[in-house]
Amino acid sequence: MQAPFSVPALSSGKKGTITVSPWRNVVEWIPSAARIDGNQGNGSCQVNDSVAVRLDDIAGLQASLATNAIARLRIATTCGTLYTFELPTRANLEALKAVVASANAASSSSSSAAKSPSARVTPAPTTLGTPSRSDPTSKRAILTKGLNDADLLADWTLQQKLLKSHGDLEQLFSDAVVGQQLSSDEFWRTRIPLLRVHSLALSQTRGPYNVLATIKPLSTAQTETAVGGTSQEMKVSLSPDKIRDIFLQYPIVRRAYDENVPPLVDTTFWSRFFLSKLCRKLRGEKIGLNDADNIMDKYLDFEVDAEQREVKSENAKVMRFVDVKANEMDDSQKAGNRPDITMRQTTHKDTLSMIRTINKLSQKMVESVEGEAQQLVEDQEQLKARELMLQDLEPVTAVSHVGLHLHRSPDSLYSSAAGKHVDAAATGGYDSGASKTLESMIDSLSSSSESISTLLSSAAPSSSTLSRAQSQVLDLIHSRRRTEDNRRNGDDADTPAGDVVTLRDMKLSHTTAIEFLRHFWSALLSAEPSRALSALPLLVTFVEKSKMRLEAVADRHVTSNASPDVVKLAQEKNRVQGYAQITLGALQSAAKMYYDLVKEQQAPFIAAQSESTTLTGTPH
Amino acid sequence: MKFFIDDLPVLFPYPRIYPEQYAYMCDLKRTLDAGGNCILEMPSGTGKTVSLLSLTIAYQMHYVEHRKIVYCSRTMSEIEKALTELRSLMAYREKELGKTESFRGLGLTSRKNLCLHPSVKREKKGTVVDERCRSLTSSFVMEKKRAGEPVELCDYHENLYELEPHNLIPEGVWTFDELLKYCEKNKQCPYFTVRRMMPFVNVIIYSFHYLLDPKIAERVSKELSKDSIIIFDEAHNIDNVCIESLSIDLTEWSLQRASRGVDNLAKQIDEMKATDSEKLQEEYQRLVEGLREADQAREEDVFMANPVLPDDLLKEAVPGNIRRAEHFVAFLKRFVEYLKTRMQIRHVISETTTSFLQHLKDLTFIERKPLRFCSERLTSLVRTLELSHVDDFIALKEIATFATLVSTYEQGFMLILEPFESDTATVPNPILHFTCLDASIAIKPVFDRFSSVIITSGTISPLDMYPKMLDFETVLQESYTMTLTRRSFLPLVVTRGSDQVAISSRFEIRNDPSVVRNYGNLFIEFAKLTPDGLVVFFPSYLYMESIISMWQTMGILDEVWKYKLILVETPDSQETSLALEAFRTACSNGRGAALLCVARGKVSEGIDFDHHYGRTVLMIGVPFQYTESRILKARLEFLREHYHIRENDFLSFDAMRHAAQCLGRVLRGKNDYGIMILADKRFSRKRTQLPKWINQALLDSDVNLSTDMAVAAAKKFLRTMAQPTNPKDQEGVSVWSLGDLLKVQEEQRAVVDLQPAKDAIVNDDNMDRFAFIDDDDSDYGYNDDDEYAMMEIEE
Repeated sequence: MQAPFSVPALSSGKKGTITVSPWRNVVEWIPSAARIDGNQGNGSCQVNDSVAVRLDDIAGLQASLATNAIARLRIATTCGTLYTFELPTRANLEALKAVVASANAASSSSSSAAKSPSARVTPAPTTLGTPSRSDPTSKRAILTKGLNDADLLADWTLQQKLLKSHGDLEQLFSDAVVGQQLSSDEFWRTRIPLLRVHSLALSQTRGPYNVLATIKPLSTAQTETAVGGTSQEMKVSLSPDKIRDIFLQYPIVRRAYDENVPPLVDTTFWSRFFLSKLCRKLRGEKIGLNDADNIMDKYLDFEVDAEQREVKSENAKVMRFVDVKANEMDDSQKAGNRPDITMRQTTHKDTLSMIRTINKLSQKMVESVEGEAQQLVEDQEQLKARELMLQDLEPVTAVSHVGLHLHRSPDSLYSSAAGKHVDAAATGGYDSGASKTLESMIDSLSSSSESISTLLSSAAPSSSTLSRAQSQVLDLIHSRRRTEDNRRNGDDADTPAGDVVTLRDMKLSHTTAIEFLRHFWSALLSAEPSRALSALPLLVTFVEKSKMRLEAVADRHVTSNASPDVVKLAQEKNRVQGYAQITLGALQSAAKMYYDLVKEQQAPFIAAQSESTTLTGTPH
Repeated sequence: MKFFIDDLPVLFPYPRIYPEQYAYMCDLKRTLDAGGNCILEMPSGTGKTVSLLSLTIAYQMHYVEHRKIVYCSRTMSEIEKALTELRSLMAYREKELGKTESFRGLGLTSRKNLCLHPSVKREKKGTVVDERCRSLTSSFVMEKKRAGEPVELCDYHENLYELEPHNLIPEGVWTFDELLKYCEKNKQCPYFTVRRMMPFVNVIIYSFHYLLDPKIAERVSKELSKDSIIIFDEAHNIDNVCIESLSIDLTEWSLQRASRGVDNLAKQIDEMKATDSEKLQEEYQRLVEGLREADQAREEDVFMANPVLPDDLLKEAVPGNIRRAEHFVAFLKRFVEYLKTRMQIRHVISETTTSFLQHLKDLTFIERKPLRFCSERLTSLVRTLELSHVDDFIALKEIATFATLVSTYEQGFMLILEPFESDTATVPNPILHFTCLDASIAIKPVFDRFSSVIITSGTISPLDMYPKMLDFETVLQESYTMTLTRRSFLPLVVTRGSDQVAISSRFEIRNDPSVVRNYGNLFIEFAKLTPDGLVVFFPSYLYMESIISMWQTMGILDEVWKYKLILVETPDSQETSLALEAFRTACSNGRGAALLCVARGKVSEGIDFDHHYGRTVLMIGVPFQYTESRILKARLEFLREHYHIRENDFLSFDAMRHAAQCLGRVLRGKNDYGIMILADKRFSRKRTQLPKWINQALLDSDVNLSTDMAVAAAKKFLRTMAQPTNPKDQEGVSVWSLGDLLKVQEEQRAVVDLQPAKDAIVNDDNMDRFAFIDDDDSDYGYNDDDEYAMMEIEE
């Protein structure tokens, strides 16, 4: 086992040491003067100030660029937290990175097999008194990861949520996946865009807003007269949501509440609060001389984060383009007369604190949703150049389109030539003789009144193409007729009572069948040979089963309608099957297509790899 | 793209060009060829800087003279922008030419902004940084070190001596960020790196005051050759910079510090007399012989430079009565005491320099001549005494500067003593303003010394005001219009609220609740409809503060909070920077924000609100100066008497240039769009004073709108902007490709061939505009309309 490796490092401005101990399966950062304060970490991996990350929890390491003056290492954990450490030198950084990376690799390979619970160093998450909804003023991670296909397919909870919110989809899912053992992966693969949209929709939460500005206490004037003007009362409607937001945005109010509410009644607390100077101060109003309140005024001068902010503002590095301070410092020898009275900035405490409150509030809200901005700091120069660029003078970049060639193909996809046809269309070849003949025939038919036979002789195509064309025309006529028949049948509005059940069953089976067809075709035409090979055999059985199911529904209908009249029975069966005729046809041709292809491939016995590539014409 | 203007090959770092950029470059070239000065108004956001740099760099590289380019801009952030653009340009040239040109481009700013010394850079005040830096780097400290005395030196500065003096930093263009990074890596001082490299650079970019402030120009810009190309960019405010550099304020507090400084000086002299009296004797001898700073090794570590302009320096020996150190100290003491007694007076005094000197002579027998030598004599003394911790003497320095200035200039200056802060104040807080009234004094040496001075800005109308105020001749004055294929910005003048009550920041009604509420409603409406960033400008800090607190009470801010975050410019510039950052982040992440700031304030100078950072700019009120200011009154009087510029013309011009400047902040490039609201009744009459390019875009129907009409117009505008455009529409009209450009050149040549050359271009537009103002007599009653009425300031 390796000995622990340690280097000094800064974490969020504090000095400390970072230690990698492979035998304990942990990377630890301990502040040099380990202070214990009440600030319990919000994450599960933080004890007081020190940071401990299990090696196999490390999802990624990120070092600052070699050109960057500050050597920084960022450790991302699988639970989504990020730790940033600043190291004194770049050499240290490189060494640390190497050690952590190798230890991580070693531990993840070993621990994936046996994850002993004793290795857990993470304390149980401390439950704070507040409701678990995320703090609107605390940093919230911006959703950037987890939107690629693999992540979406793996995100089980997301899928559950999506199903919950879409009844139809849930039904389909339970039919296809739960009932028919279609792998859920397969199910979701066709619905990745849906998942993505849902994932984005879920990440949209109400951003932080200025709570106090949304609360409008009713004027006290009316109540005053009612009570007799002695005690002021305040009518204010507060929802629990609002109260929580106030607590989160203004910790000071929470503190006042905690310390005073047992003696005070809840409502009294709030009515006093909204009349107090404290409220005025937090709202950024001028504080009047009256409105004294011995309880609330105690909290008036507490500036909880003032000190922290001060330090931060001292160290904050502002982009040069907006660095007003440096602009002011540009001329240190500046003489000149002082500005006139209107242009002098106030030192009036009230106005100043009012303006400061407004700014602080906005800054707090901005900071709570930052995240992207932080990353951009890396290359200042490029950022600056980009900001100054005149975009409309830049060269016009040609938009690259993927051309989709849509043909009204005379070859039905369901015909046996479909595979070949897709290939041809994709390569732009499209040289089917039959279709040409057909087209020319259609043209002349529409323009002239000559008989078909003369036409046929004048076109003089080869007999084989001619016969194929003929069969296609006939197919089309048949299918057209079938549709017409169905429509007519369906029009018999007075559906008998038994039909309701049948219709429901039929609908269900139909949807599942279509679902399977979708998967079948998407697998067949997908550009991934491996996927086609693995999924198709199973899918074909599903397709066939669907067909059987549909037929069974029709049969059931006939048997339930136990009518003695044989002719009527046959009619009824026809009618019901008519509903599903097209679906059945589709299912049948799908199955046929598959078996044809299999036969075709097996005949010359070409390697499995190349088989699937011909199957799946990659679109250009 | 590469094209020719006459014989000059110009490399322009974009494949396409705006027509106005081409016209601008042609005019620049003509000015440089003619060797004269010009004033050019180039619409904001049409790539002025890149055109300027492309042409001047091409000019420098092509012709054998290789004239140095001195590019002055207003603020550090604008300098950084220019440096960044220069960098991109040079990268493009390198790519196009296939070789790296021998080229250096550097920017200079104060020590405070550049210092790397671990403890000095933490100092908050710029002057303290300067003084501490001097105490670590000046030549006599180094001599002491060499003599073995235990003095502290700055390592960053020392390391410079190990480098070749003409190659302290590799070739290329260095932005401040890059410069700091490089110098930190190599442990060398960025400030002195730039200062010492100045003779070797092709382009130097710095602030106006490095050329205009004699105290600094003397030290920093002395070695620039006469044929340098001088550019003043964003020069619409140049007259104020000139005036500032020669004005000075003395307070009771600074006088107290000065007298302490004098006492200190006396003590130091006594000490030196005891230990090393030879040195003082030496100095005396030198002064007797009239030897000037010939022995002075380097200029850069001088305690203070002479505040007067080089032409006005006396070329004589220091007068006898202040040659001896102790005599000089006594002299200073007397002068400071005199000033202290003047401060005791409890009524306002305003007098000329002549009268001040007369009074001084009557009371203290101090003559004019020794007074003129004050700063020079003090410098010499400080050097002789080898004072390294000179921060005690900052106030004394101020007094010496004042003494020299007041005794050198008879014309164009005024002394104003104000015993009280305001008319209603009862506790005295006297201030002696020594104010320069004539902007042409400070800039005169620049025009005298350099043949080509280019004065340019996005908003510098009316053009002929500047040659009048600054007293110089131009070979060319031009204001370009903006060619647009769609209306990409929408100027509107809102004169009344939805209730038809006129809105105005006129003093009598500015705090009227109905006016404030109408302004508030306008703010709410535009907060609702503006995407991303909204910038609101107020005429003054005082007004902004009072209106914000009124809005807060009226619940207007609560309403705005629903749509935008609110950020406000504060007195603390660091806080303001952070507020600006927050504003920009909120605009970028879609939250949207409103920024409230002041038209002449810190934010309005040099901070851009292009693209989503500013979709609407709302100008609340006309940004007039405070006309009750005695300094302004004195200046107005001076302008009338000497340059025949009438008070109202000047005030109106000054207000409108600042308003236009605020409006121009929102545009960058022709695909950018923005709404510009001028919210004041009085703007409808002042539209002619707006720059040509804004005025042209302002429709006649849009100059007298109520809030609801403006809202409707703005909504319609934003809907139009949301429609996709066909870039083809622009081609050849508002954007030229190289082909279009060549075609235009061809046509121009054909025209020139037909008619004999015509040299001067008469710019009637500007003439007309100014004439209109002159006619407009009745509207500008000095005391009844605008804000010239008495202003009482509530405390």
